[in-house]
Parts: sequence; C-alpha cells; structure tokens
Amino acid sequence: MQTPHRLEVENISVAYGDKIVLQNVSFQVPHGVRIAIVGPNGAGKSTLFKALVGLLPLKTGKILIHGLPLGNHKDCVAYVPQREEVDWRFPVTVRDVVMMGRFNSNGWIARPTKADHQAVDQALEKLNIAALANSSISDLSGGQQQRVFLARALAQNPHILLMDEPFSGIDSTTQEITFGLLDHLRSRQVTVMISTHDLNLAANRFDLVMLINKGLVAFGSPHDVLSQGNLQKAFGNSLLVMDGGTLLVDECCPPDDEHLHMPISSSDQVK
Amino acid sequence: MIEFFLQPLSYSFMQRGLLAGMMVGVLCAVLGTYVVLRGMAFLGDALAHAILPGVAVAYLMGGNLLLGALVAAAVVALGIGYFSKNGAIKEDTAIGILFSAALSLGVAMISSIRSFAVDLSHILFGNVLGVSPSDLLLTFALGAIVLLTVVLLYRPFMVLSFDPVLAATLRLPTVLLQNIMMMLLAVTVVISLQTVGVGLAAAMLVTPAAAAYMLTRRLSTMMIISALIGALSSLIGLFLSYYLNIVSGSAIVLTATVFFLIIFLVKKGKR
Repeated sequence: MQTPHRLEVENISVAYGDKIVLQNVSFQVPHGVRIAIVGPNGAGKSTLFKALVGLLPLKTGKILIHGLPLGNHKDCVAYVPQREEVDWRFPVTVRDVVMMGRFNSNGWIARPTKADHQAVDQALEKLNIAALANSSISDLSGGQQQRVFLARALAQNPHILLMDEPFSGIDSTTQEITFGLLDHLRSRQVTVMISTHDLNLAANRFDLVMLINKGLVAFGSPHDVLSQGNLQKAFGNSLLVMDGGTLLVDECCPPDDEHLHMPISSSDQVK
Repeated sequence: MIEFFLQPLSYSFMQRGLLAGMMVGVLCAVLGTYVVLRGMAFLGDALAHAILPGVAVAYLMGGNLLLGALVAAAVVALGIGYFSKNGAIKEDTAIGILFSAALSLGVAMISSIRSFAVDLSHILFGNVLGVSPSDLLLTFALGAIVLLTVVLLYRPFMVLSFDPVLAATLRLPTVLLQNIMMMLLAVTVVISLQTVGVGLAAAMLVTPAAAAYMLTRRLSTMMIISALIGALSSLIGLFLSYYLNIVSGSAIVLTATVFFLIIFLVKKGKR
C-alpha cells in the first residue's frame, strides 16, 4: 500500500471578504519534505499558510491532513508567523513564549506538566537560547526573536511546520541554526513549508519549490519549477530576460519594510 | 497619628467604603493589565459610559442599580462583538457608535426624572460612602468571581493577548474567551460604578496597570503590582477624600495618577 500523503489540498479558493486571493489551488505533499513557497508580493503566500492552519475559511475545496479534514488534529500543524506580527514588548519571558507551544498538550486550564517543561527545555537547547530562557522578549534581537518562535514551534511537536518569511532580516548564524533545525525535523519526518523571497535558498536548499501567484503556477523539484517560463508566469514584468540568462528583479519587500535596514546586533552571535 | 487613621474608620460607612474601594482598586487594576496590553482603553471607557441606560431603567423600576448596569454592559459588550464581526465595521467604530447611543439613551431617561440630579452625580463620580451592606456583599461576590476567572484563564488569556494567531492554530475557543474577557471587564466597570463612578472608571483600569507595566517584564508580576497600586490608591484616596472633603472618586484617581507619575519620572531619570 502506498503511504498516504501528509497533506492534500484539493482545489481550494480563499478570499478576504469578496476579494479572492487564491484560486483553485491543488497539490499533494508527501511526508518529511522541505518545500519553498515562492512568488511576488501579494501572491498569496501568507494567505495559503493561514488557510492551511484553518485561520481563513475556504470558499471552495478542502484540505486534508493524514486523510482527515482540517480541525481534527489539535497539535498537527505549527505556524511560525512573521516576527512583526506580535508585540515584542508584551511582558513575557522567552520561556513563557515557548511554553505557549505546549498549551494544548493537557487541556488549556491545567498547569504545565513535567513533560511540558522538558519539551520546552529541549526546544530552548536546540535553538541555542537556553541562556536567554528567563530574559524578557523585549530585550531580544531580531535573530533571537526568530529563534524563540522556532523553539515554540518545535515544542508544539508538529507534523507539519509552516514558516512565513523566516529568513528576511536575520543574521547568518540564525539562518544556519534554522537550517540545522530543519535537518533535525526532516529526520523526524516533519513536513516543512517555508515562504521566502530568497530564490537562491529556494533553489539550493529545498526538496521542492512551489511557485504561486494568486494560484498555483508550478510545483516540483527546484530545477523544474524555477524555469524561465514559470518565473515569467509568476513574476511577470519583474522578470528581466537577457541573452546570457535570466535576471529576476524581485520587488521583495515594500520600501519601508523594516527588515531591509534592520540592524543586526552583535549579541546575535552565539556564544 | 494612629488616631488619624482610626478616627474615620469608627464610622461603619467608612469601613464599608474602604473595603469596597480596595476591592474595586484591585479588580480594575488586574483587568486593566489586559486593557493596557491589548490597547482596549477606549473600550473600557465606552463600557463605563454605556451602562448608564441600564442604571436609569433599574432606578425607574426600583430595582438594583448594579444589576441594571450589569445587563446594560453585557448588551453593549456583546453588541460591539456583533457589529464588528467579520469586519463589517471596524471595532473602534462599533464601540464609538454603541457607546454614544447608550450614553444618550441613559441621559435622555435620566433627564425625564427630576429628583435624579443627586443620584446622577453619584453615578458619574461615585459615592463610595453610600455603600450599603448588601452592596458590599455583591461587590465582593462579583469581585471574587472575576478574580477567580482571571486566575483560571491566566494562560489562555495570555496566549490570546500575545499572539491571537497562535491561539487560533492551537484551536482555543478564541471567540468564547474574547467574550468572557469582555464580560469580566463589564462586571468590573459596573462594580467600580460605586467608588469612582462612570466618568472615572476608565482611569482606574488604565493608570495602575500602565504604572506596573513600567516596573516589570512578567505578566503575573505586572498584575500583582498593578493590584497593589490600585488598592493603595483607593486607601489613600479615601482618607484624602475624608480629610480634604473632596469627591472620593476624584481623590482615588488622582492618587493613582500620582503613583503613575512618580514611577514614570523615576524610570525616565534612570535612562
């Protein structure tokens, strides 16, 4: 018997109010693979993630995880949002935030169990932030914030991990720690989907690439997907084709987006 | 010196006022932590004003004023959720509409009663010395329920306030939790009606919590410090009100403001 796909998306359309952001998307993801999601701004990358975790209702189609509709798996999918989406001045410690990932393990009123504390400790160790456990999150650098979110996702013990732009505005140390974590997750058969603007990363360090622009443009191995024709379809006029090859001028981020000029503090380096 | 403190307490109405005032100080300060962290100050103020028609109806029908206020607060709190559901209109717009409508309705009702002038000033600015034994009992019963709920739902409320997206992916009942928080806020505002009045309840929600926010980076510590400031403000404010012969609500709020200013200036001086 064939191993069932971990994640099956059948013809989904997602809209904010009347504005359709993603149309007729279908794909199947086998377990344990690492997928890069690539597309221009407003292509619907974040929307796809939010649909996958059940934050946005589906206009059409369905999402099956382990063959069951979304909502039947409490701890199955973890989502690492863009760092800017939470208030980093909220009065909690690093440990508090990572513990939030263990929230559902034993009912949401009960106090954390020994197993919860162990899972949190391990996650903190794995991301090299155990020393920061009792620090306030307001004292962290961008890369450290990223690692806190990763530790939280790890503590959730997910089967599928979704990460929204984890590589924008972080130092190379955090990037390598992230990939180290991804290798670890692969060994545990965790499926990882990451949206990124970095096409080099997408081409070189992922098993599969999904190119989207309001819908699915292409999905497959990096070599097949990142062809000139596909990129032209996804990026349109942002793509410059020259004699010697293809030059992609991705608009990347809105001009005043903070991660373009976010300073990376020296405290980011791992001791 | 001891006489200075004991003399006012020889009156039973002062004892009751003090107990009620301190309970309200603690309640407002604890709930105020969420109000400050989630930016709901406008909502707290709106709720305080919106309970006026409930009080008016209860007065006209000869019923319990607190009960009338509670019903009105519940209606408005849930109404705000209903109107802003699915982004039909923005939440602060919904708050603005409902709050001014309820306030107008309340004033309209009250203006039809001639003898209401005295009671109206008590409702607007509090009459902590008019706390009857049954009022005190109700204040403590409701206060205990609110505090118990805050303790029981500490973790879900923390996750919901820090990262609503995580709360949703963990499949927490976010709408239910949100409504519970609104109801707790409504009950708190209603109880504070008697000590600081409709006009100043928002200050007791925001000021002690804002002061505590500057002193700590842990949510639980922030709640405790905030509660201490709230209780002390009520205590000191009530003595000031007794000896200086000023309205108790104003005295309490001004005391809390002094606490805030001292902490703010000390913090600023350190930087």
